[in-house]
Amino acid sequence: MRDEFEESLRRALRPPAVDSGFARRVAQRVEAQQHQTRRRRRLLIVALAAGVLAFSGAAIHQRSVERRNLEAKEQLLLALRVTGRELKRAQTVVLKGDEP
Amino acid sequence: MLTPNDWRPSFETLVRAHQQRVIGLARNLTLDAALAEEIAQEVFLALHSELPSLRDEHHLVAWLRRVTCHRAFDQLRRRRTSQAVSLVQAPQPESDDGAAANADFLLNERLRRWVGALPEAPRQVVVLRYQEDLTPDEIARTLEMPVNTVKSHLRRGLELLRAKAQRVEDEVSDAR
Repeated sequence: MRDEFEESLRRALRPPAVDSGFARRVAQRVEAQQHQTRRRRRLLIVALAAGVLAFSGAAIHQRSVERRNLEAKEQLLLALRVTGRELKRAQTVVLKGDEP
Repeated sequence: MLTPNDWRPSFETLVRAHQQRVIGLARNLTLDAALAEEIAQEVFLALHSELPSLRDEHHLVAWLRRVTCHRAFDQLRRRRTSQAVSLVQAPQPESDDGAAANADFLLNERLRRWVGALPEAPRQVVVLRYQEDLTPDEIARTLEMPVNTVKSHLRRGLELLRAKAQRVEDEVSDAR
């Protein structure tokens, strides 16, 4: 036999009738959430693409700076070699001119 | 098993099938109709993402009960309004057929308030026991707690409720 107090509790806690718009409101929130998720995903893809582009640009720029530095270094070495050779030639001429 | 691709017909059907249970649980745990609707919407939103991992109807119902209880208490902790429901917010009786209906309504309201004023653990156990008609074993599985703990919360909850009912009865007798 069921306790009367417990039966009263069952009656009191019986779920209320739900208005017919609830399922529609949930569906709308699901739609909105999916829309937001898609938007976030698109933004993430755009951000990733921008990041890759920026990184590639920086890498290309860095390589170009390094190449220019290398060329400048080679030109400097060439100039030093040419200068050394010319100095040596001048020294030879000067030394020959000093001989009696 | 349901997949996200067929959610539109299936998901709406699921919402309609379980909305009363979820809103009822949330309302009985929070004593706040507006908050209960918000919690129920959040629970169904979470269900939409969780659907692929739910094996069957039984698993789904257990998941809904557990998540509703957790979210209801999370919301209450955030808002700290568990005791803040006034008579003005209470729903009006659905039928006004006379004094008997009104007395039933007031008794039900009073019982709901008392249940709503119980500490968290006994409250959710009492609500699952008397709203959902679950056995202590089923409640233990739903809330992932030992059966003896469930029985102890149930006993404590019922003692508190009976004590309040007795006190009111005594006050009424004294007034006569």
